Amino acid sequence: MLNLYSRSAALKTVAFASLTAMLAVGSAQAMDAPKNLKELIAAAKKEGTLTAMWSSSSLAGGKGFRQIVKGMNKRYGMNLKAKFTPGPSMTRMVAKTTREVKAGQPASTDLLWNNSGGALKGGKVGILRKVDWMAYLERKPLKWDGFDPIAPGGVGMASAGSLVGIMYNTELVKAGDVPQSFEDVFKPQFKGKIATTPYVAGMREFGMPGVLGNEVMTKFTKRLSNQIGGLMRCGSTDRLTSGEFLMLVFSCGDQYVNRAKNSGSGEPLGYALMKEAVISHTRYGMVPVNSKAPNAATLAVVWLHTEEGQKWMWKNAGLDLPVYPESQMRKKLLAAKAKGAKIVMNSPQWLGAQGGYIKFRKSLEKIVKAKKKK
Amino acid sequence: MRTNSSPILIALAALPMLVILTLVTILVWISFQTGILGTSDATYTLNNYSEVFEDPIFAEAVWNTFEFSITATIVAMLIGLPIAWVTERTTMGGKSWVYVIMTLGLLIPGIYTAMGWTFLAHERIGFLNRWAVQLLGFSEAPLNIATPVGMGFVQGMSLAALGFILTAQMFRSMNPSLEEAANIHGLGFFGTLRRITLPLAMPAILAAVIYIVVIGIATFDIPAIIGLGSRVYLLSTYIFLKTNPGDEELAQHGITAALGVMMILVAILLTWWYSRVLRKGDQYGVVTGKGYRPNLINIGGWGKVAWGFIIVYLIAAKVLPLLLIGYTAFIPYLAPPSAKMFSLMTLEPILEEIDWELVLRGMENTFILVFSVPLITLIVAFAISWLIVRSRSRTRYLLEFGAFLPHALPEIILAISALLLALFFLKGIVPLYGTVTLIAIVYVITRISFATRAINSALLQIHKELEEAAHTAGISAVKTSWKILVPLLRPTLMAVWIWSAILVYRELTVAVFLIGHENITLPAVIWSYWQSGAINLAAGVTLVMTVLLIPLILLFWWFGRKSVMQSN
Repeated sequence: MLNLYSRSAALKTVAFASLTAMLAVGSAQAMDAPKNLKELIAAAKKEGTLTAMWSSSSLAGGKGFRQIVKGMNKRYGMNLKAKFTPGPSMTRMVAKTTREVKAGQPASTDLLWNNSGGALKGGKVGILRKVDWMAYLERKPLKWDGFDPIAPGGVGMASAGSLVGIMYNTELVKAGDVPQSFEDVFKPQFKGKIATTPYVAGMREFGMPGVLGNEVMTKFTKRLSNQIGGLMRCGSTDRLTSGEFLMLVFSCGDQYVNRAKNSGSGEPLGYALMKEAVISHTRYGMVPVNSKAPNAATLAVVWLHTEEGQKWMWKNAGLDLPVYPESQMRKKLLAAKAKGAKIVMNSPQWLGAQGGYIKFRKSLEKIVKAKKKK
Repeated sequence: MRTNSSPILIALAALPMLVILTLVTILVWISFQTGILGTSDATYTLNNYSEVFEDPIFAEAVWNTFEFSITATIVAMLIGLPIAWVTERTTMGGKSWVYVIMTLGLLIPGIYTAMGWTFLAHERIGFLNRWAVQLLGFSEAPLNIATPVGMGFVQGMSLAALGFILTAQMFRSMNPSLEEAANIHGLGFFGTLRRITLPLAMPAILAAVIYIVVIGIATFDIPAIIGLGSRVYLLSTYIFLKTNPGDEELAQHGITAALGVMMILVAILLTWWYSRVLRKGDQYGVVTGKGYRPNLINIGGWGKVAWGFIIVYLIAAKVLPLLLIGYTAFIPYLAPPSAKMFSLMTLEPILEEIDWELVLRGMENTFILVFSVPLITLIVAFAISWLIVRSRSRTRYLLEFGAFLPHALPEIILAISALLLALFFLKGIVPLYGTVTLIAIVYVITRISFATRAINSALLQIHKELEEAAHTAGISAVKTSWKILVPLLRPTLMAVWIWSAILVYRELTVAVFLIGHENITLPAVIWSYWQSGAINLAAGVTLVMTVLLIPLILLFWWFGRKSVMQSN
């Protein structure tokens, strides 16, 4: 391999530039950051427009984002404008943001709505602003054993959670056939008719040493790869309601089913948790370092933490954060816990402590993406 | 160049050449790099090429692309060629309507044909499969659209119109004297077809085949809509995956660029073959005097059979998919048609769920592109054509090659190269990342081949005496072009403008790779909805887009019919 510059000179340059940049960003963030909610609101007002990009199936897409900004404007007496463009999956949004940060371009999204893996990776590669979230929140979250809603270094704030399980078409999967455990998905009648996600949702978390372990889930994924008929994103519920697939093993969470029930749309969707373990999949609100409206983005996360914001999320997006008393997810988790299920609160801290998460996830992704012969 | 070649014309012709050269150079350069491009972290390597070959999905994608392109070409020619023949060489009635139907086929976005055919022939949700199982007693679904052959079939139906257009002109200008001689000597209809007509037509047919194969290799929309979710990867969707990896890792631009370089080499090879075939075509010409009237073959009642074939094609390729999209747009969630679903049909998805602010933004950008890209294309293509046709300089060969090169370069490759250029290299110089201008530049480049080909032919018909007279009178080259050539070339320029506008309107491949908040286009809005599972919303926006397309289609019909009548 031939270096563009002499290796030692380049290394020194990179090390010095990185250190300077880190110090500069860190101090700038600390110095410029509003000290309290009042200052945050004032700073957000000046930013004018809040731009967002995520999947149309997350937080009710563009319609939902406008409602969030409307709620913020009403609560904080602002006149922020909302601009939303549908984007790729959460994992791809992290990659897109990383690419933009590295290229020195402004972020496509002022607010990065992502999962624990995204918070872990984003924190590691330095694309996220460090925010003192507790200085802005209007109420304190309840304690949940082993779960800190603030991502390491303040790079993100847990804002919602949903439960990992199997989403299925209630008209095509008989009540008696609904899987209750991992083994149930291998029933012959499901062969070629079920789907999984290209980003191996669920499997990547179940495979952590603190849950079922790498070996168990690697074997499971290999078997599943031969059992599935294709890949779909968690939010593509149309592919279940249309009958293209009978079920999704596993879904990123039950929010799609909750949302369908809340809206009374009549979609034939059901959800099953696995008896082996229940994982609460946490969503984080994060602010990229190249965000054009970092204060407005921070304020949006703060609004989502109000009772109004949490209730809005449950009604329109089918998820909320289990560390608030009114949380529907909290009720579900406590019910599962009462039944003796092993509960795991997925967070970047938990993923980081497990070790080898990203490498393991990649190995599983490779398995499911390779097409198997029938 | 000639002494009276205007510097303005030379500059206009040189500008797109410079852009093409830059895009290709960037791609080749990046294909040898790894790390963060444009920074000192980037290192030179050959690993990108070796990694491509070591990836088992790549080998599968190559084979799938081969199957797909061949199937698409066979289907396109099996439909397009007979319709072209029957329209141009027989007494079948209603010919101008055939042109209307076939050109309509080209105007309909491939994205909706793909969506429609998913509902028709998908292994699990396709109606045809359901009917086959329920009514015909099949034990399992006989059709599967989510295969390279299945997707090739859908692509072929979409490209049949192109097959028609590429071969109809050849049948129209084919001299019938050899066929007539064969008839006089007692050779029957099929004998004449086999021994005279087809050999005469073969160079043009082969040229059309190569042209369609090149398109097939780079097509993105149909393979993406139908194949991605079923893990059936083609080269275009494989590149998409590499540019948009499924994890938080940075896109593997070096690998994408290496793939692009390989695709360019294949496409250049095919283009070289294409130009050879075109040149060979002249060997089959029959020298005649002016004003011959070809004898049309009287096919009598078979004309009705031919029309039946055309109508079946129209229904299968356009009407059925459109009906299914109409149905999907008005249901609250995606499910096969049933009494229950019809009772649930509502305007709510269109009125309440569609993000109209986004659609309006997409519409605004699309209209900016529809009006600007054809105009800019015409201006630069005219400059290039004028220099190619009128100049005696050897540079004109270089211009000709440069103008045809974008046809050989898959759009997806140009889009990625433009993205990387804007993202990493122009960031501090020209802020193009995420702008409509970036999309417009790539669209102009991709349309130049077609535009220059059309203008070259038209320009050759105009004798240069008029320009020489203007030159003698001291009128500048630019003014001469504007006052003399443009009015004479108006029909061709109008046709190129309308054609480019329609292609820009329906274009998805480039837009998918370059979209952001400020430059999202209508097809990209549809793609975004489709990708995130909001299929009924994607269908709703498709309907909106189709309605908006009507004025352009009417313009195209009016112009097309006028041209057919004039040529008749």
